[in-house]
Amino acid sequence: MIQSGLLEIFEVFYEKLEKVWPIKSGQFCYVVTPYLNKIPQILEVTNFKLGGKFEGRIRNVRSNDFLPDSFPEPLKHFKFSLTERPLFMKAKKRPVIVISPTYLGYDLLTFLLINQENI
Amino acid sequence: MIWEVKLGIPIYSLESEEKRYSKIPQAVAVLANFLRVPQFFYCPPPNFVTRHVISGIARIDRMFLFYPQAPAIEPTELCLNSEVLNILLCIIEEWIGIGCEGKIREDFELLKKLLHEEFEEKVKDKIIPADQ
Repeated sequence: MIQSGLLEIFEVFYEKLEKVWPIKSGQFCYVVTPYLNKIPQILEVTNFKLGGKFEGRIRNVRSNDFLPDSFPEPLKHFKFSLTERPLFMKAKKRPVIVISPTYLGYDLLTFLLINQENI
Repeated sequence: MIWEVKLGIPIYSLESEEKRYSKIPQAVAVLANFLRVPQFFYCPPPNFVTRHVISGIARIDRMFLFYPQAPAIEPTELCLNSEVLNILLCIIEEWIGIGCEGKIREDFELLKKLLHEEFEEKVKDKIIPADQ
């Protein structure tokens, strides 16, 4: 990396915190970060009725997935309403720069709500 | 209640000699270091001894909201300097399209202009081949 640009201007790029809690703006944290999928995926569970065993696989959401009849038998004991299904999402603990939304105000939240992809 | 959530900007690591073609190229880090890529912010390795050696590209286009509570979050002792944080906030504001004003904003515009000029004069030819 060339020692120029921002690195040349800001010789002190980081500071070392004595206390890690409470979280402050600019602090680095490892946070569970979901992967972005254009098409949501669900965990499909098939019951083979072999001693209560069942098999699960991940697949893309279909248009009829949120109809009451599509709810699989092995997941019935989870408390979902008729229009709810469990989504499948991979996630990784990734380093993240934490920013308090108060710095940016309602404009930021409006932006995030309009662009659902980025949430 | 809504302000209890935090905004997270995930950091993606850069490619190295050992790990190529699966991470962000070094040339992108150089561009981000000169504020040439509006959605990227370069985070260099810390220059002091710490348990958490974090470096890479912070991707503003991948920012997300999260609830700051363990065990989903593991805080580190590493924190951006307040001046650098102001620069990052200006980059976020610009990328979102919030039209803010003030001294910090003016300084940021000046800094960006200086960095762009420096990039054109000294760095551009080294990372972008002449035929492109």
